[in-house]
Amino acid sequence: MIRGTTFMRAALAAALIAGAAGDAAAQLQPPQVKGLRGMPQFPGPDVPALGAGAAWDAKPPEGVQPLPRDLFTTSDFYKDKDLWMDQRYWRCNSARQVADMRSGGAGSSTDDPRIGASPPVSARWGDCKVDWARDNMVSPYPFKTAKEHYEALLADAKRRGGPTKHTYETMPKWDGAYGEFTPMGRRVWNYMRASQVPTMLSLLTPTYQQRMVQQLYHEGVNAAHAWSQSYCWPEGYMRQWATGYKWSRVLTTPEVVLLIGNGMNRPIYLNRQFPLGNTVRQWYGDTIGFWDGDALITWTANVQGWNQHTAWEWSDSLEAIEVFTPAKDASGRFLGLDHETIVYDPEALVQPVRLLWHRNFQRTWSDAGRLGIDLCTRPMYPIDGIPTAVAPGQVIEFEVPDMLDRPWADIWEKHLEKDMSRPVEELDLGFR
Amino acid sequence: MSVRNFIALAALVVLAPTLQAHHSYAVYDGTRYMVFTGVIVRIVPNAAHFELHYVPLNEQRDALVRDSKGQPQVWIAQMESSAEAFRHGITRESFPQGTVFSMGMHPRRDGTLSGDRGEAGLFQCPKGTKPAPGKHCDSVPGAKRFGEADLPAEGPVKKKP
Repeated sequence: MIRGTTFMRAALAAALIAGAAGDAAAQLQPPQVKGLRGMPQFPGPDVPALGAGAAWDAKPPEGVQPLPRDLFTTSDFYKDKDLWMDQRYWRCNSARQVADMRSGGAGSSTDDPRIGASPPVSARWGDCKVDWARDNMVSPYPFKTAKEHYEALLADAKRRGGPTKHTYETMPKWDGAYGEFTPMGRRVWNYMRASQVPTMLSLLTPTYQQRMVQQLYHEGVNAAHAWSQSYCWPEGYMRQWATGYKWSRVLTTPEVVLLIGNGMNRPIYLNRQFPLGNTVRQWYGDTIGFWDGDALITWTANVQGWNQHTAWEWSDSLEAIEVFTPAKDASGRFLGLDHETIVYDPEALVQPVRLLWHRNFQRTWSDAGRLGIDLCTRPMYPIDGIPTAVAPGQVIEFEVPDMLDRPWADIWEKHLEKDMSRPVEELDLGFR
Repeated sequence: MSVRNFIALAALVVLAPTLQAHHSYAVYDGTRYMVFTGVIVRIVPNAAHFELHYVPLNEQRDALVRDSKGQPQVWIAQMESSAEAFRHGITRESFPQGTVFSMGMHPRRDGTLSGDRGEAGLFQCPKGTKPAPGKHCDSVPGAKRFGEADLPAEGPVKKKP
């Protein structure tokens, strides 16, 4: 059942889009199947900075009383747990703004860093009034598990004579290269640009709240960004809904649909059942699916728990439902895919969340450039907890991380949290 | 060739790629086995070579073996691929941290704390149990065997007849 507030917001968004751009309207209006498919959702605006330049260093918005202690003045963020849900603790910055305090964004520098002249206490504020609401992120559906959700979608398709068994002749012609539709520069909420940090934290269980706070502290205060590609670590499933490593090509056959990118590939096995193989967690999970007319409905499980920088960690329990629906213009021209995802992770999330965005078709495989395969072989190394480029021949001290036990956190905890109050977890094997 | 033998050969051919090693095992001393009983620290299900990280128990089977600084001495046992380990029922789920188990292993030639399972047997003690002093899990009632082999004898590998 679609909730009223979401429906109203969606309808308003659709009206706004229709007025803004014809293509956008078509791309964000997937066919509706009452109660089971996504509604259009226009991405929220980024939380803006209050202003640029040194005059804005540590200056709060008018009428806002700063907290006596916040992320940029604390000596121990673990002790501030009672403050984490106050947006002033974050100086009203989005998670992404916290991460970019010293840069102009990923891969670019700036001559006016928002961390200010006396880091970190001079960190600048964001606009406390801008916040992409929690209601826009939680799942509107009643399902408690991905399995339950998938079975409902499958039953719904069966009631209408499905699932559809396509042949090479009948299957949707989605093959080609895709981009990311960013109306007015806006992006899906998982980019962490549009919401206040407490709004994001409200989606998480206590353990995963602490993990996100830990990450943002080390990105914003210490500039110790442990981004996966810095260390040639895998990106993992949720990275598909953020900058960079996502699928950019589609290949369809009657047996499998392949989502492929420079650093990933995801086969969607059609009309199969779990398990697809052994229980070794996969970086992009195992995915099964079926056609419902020209819509593709999938269920992903067996995902390796991991981290997405500047955002929330997920657990091995994560499962997801994805619905890919073709968007066409009035003439029937294929514009791209509306991609709705509902993420279930009872360990990390207090309730399921939904991502709804659009991938715009750009060109066919024949017209597109080479699809390079990016196998990372030149990592940086953590020196005193900070990712550092090391030249060939240089000798460094390097501690091998446990790759399946939050290696990023291990680096921070050993180098940058020495005087903090994080509970120490001793190895207990049951023997002295 | 009988039909049964033909099928067996065909199966071997099909399975062969999954049984191939993904790095050289020249570092391991394949002429001898060491046999240990230890406690699982973590499972690393690498696609190429499944790893068991464990701390050996002392001869009395009542304490972890520790290094000169008093820290648990972690060993690494490399095995077949994760897919092959799974066929034997060896997974992260079946070997959680704290599991007591016994296995044979070809040790590294240089004395580094790791080895290769080779064709050695692997036995898991029932939860909450441990072997008597000097014994291994294959002696504990209710122990679970993974794969078909027995624990090898400690020392030089016995040639197959």
